[in-house]
Amino acid sequence: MSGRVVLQDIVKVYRSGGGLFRGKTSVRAVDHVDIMLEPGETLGIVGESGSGKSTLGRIAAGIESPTSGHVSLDGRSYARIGSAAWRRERRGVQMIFQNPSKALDPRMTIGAQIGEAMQAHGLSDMQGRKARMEEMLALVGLPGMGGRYSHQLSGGQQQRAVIARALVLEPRVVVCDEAVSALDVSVQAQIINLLNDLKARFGIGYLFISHDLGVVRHISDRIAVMQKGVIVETGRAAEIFANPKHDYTRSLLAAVPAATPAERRARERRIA
Amino acid sequence: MTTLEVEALSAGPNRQRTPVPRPPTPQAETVLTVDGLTVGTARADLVIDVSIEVRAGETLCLVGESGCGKSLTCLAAMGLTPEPLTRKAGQISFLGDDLSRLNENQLADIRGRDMAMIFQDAMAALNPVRRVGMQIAEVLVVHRGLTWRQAEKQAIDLLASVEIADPQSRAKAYPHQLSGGMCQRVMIAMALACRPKLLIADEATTALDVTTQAQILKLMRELQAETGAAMIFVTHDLGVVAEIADRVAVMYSGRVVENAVVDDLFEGPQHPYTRGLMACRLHAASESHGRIAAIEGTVPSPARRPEGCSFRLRCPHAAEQCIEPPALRPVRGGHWAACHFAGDFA
Ligand SMILES: Nc1ncnc2c1ncn2[C@@H]1O[C@H](COP(=O)(O)OP(=O)(O)OP(=O)(O)O)[C@@H](O)[C@H]1O
Ligand SMILES: Nc1ncnc2c1ncn2[C@@H]1O[C@H](COP(=O)(O)OP(=O)(O)OP(=O)(O)O)[C@@H](O)[C@H]1O
Ligand code: SF4
Ligand SMILES: [Mg+2]
Ligand SMILES: [Mg+2]
Repeated sequence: MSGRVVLQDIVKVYRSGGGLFRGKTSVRAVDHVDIMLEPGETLGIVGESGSGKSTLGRIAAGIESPTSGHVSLDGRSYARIGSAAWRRERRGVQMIFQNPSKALDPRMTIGAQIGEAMQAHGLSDMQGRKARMEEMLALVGLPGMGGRYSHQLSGGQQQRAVIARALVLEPRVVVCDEAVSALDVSVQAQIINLLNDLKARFGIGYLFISHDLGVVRHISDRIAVMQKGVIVETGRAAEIFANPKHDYTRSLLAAVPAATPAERRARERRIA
Repeated sequence: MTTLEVEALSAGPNRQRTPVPRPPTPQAETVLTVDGLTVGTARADLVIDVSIEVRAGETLCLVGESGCGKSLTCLAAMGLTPEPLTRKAGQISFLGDDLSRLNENQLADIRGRDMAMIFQDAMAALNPVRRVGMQIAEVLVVHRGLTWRQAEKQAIDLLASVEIADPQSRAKAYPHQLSGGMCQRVMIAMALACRPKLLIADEATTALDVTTQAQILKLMRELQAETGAAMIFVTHDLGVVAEIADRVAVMYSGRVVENAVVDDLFEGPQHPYTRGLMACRLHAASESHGRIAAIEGTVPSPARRPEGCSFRLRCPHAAEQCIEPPALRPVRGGHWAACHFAGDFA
């Protein structure tokens, strides 16, 4: 298995409301999107809040099915959600969710959750699992914290527990949805270095959704820019930043916060 | 000195408190003072002797390593220290009132009306089984005495003000039907609804694209100019700090290790941890490859901090005297740092 994910002509429509006298509303979260993630590639996804990035990520990870369109991993279509084949497939494609507290089970320690994930996919014996769990927690900067429950962790610690649980399965592809957004820049740097090491060693590919354009620029090989359910621009990372073509991409780059207060004042003077 | 003695020193009733760092020429009214706050379990202190202050119209940013106690400090300031943690020492006063003297009813009254917090995990903080428009309207009914009819109308205006497209129909959505950034904006709308005197925002814009974030920061600054609210902004994004802060407090392993006016902090950080943070930044404006600089090692567990300076084992400047804990002390007008060598860094 090498890990090429292909999404073809994906559409996702959410319908809601629809009580007897209430009009139905529908939201077109993803509107005819095509993307391809090569093995060992990092594809950055940036765009407007609400533009469909998480929805697209869940579809790429195979945990939500599109209204129409086709998803495949190494040429094989994703199995039906809930089937045994689908469960096996999930080991190869993991997702790190945007809301870590929802992704963790409040009744189990984080160590037990990481162990359970390994067990579900038949990875090693009990002792091997414990050693692996501890190694993984140390790698994400939570050494010896396997005995904690999620409510005993800070926001960034929860996020790293979710990262450890996804990476411990040695997936081919990881969908990272704002996976480092709750981390201070130093811990963020450590996690990004870890993701890049795993990519270099095992050829893991990442679909990396983030609002932090500094992080996206550093980590991505290619970038796709989304707005209102549509990909408006794709290209090599360096090219998108050096030479943005679409108006929306330009407005996004123009809104990057100032690096220093002095830079902010200089900008405010220019505008005034 | 044993670790136990160090803890006794830091949290015991007779210890010397760190004075509250103040700007050289205080003008506006003080809204919140946190004085010598220590929060923890029976076994470990998670927030240690934290002293901060915010004045009307001022914005204080709290930054620091994941797990260093930023959220717990904010929760304590709202009188919301989560069980089984307790406030072991320190005083919190809000507009001159000591919070610990208020009963639960009085506190509930103040929260939401005079002080509001945007929680780090917006989706979890919203009620999953109520429409978001109703949740905003409820705040207006309870705290501002509006009728439900008026409140529902105003809720839609508030949703529009936080850049939610099609607010009329989005008001009817449940939280799980909205994106991460939309939930954050609903929380922001709820916090702004009552025009509080103190607004605490804990990683409130992490799920917003930079364009929307810029709009929201602008909205908050405008409201602040209008109402004179004091704001505490917890963020790891040093770009957001550059955009919005007047002062910055940097925390490490439970303590405030540096406190300065924003320009001083960016131009001449005086604590090695802060200097390390500045060096790890990734900029959208410049190309970077390979491994990113990071501060080596991990933050010590609160139950096993090293003796002396808690940054000692990771600090590139550590020296013999660092076995003694450095006090947070003024370096120059309004710039405080807790390092034996503070003031020596160019
Ligand atoms: N109930 C608890 N029992 C034990 N430790 C706890 C508990 N709640 C929080 N902690 C610990 O307290 C420390 C401070 O947590 P806090 O949430 O304030 O961190 P933070 O600075 O907000 O971090 P982040 O940036 O990751 O959100 C963390 O190390 C966390 O593990
Ligand atoms: N379960 C659902 N039911 C109804 N609508 C939904 C559902 N999930 C998402 N949506 C809608 O789909 C659109 C896209 O949401 P999505 O979460 O994919 O956005 P996003 O790009 O990840 O945004 P953010 O950056 O704010 O996280 C939004 O309009 C959202 O309200
Ligand atoms: S006191 Fe010593 S160990 Fe601590 S930050 Fe300063 S130089 Fe580093
Ligand atoms: Mg999202
Ligand atoms: Mg926090």
